Amino acid sequence: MTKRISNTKRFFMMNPIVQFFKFIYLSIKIMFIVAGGHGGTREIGY
Amino acid sequence: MVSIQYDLGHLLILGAQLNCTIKSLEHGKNCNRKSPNDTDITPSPPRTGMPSRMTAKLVANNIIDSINNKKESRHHKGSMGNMGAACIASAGYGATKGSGVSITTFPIVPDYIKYPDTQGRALDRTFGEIGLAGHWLKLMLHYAFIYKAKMKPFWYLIPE
Repeated sequence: MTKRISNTKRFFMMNPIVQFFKFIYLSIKIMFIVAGGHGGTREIGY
Repeated sequence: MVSIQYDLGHLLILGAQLNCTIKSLEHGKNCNRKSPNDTDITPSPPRTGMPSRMTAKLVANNIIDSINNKKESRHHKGSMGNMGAACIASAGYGATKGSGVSITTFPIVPDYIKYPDTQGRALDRTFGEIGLAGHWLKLMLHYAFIYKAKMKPFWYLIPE
């Protein structure tokens, strides 16, 4: 059976230092996607 | 009892509007889709998570307007064709050994006109990431939503 997650990928997945910065990046990115434009209730154009 | 009926009525109206919006977005102007057996095919809007919260918020705002103005108001509107959603699924446990998958999709209802080459999604806002950060994110959201539900100071600043 082939390995689905490579060792390099797993290292980055589980490295707390790398993941800390990713955590901040993802928090901001997800907030902009979900909450942007008041949650999609502004400028809907209909 | 009257107020409950009033709420349900608005919810049903909004649900019907959403159904129609979804159908019209997906299939042009056709709002009455049926199978060859004459069964209604009606895709329903999401009833959990962030989109349901936005629905409830809009309905509540319309009810407030209706009560204040003493006439029916549908001023507050939202479209799932213009709304993003996020999902974080745990794939392990523990603060250092856990793992989580963060997935977002934008828009919830694919818009084939705006994004014709990407199956109706904006690819810069539709992604999936796996790792320890997702696990921490889920934990953070857990506490954030409990804080919001308890309506503690500045609860309204926490997004859905």
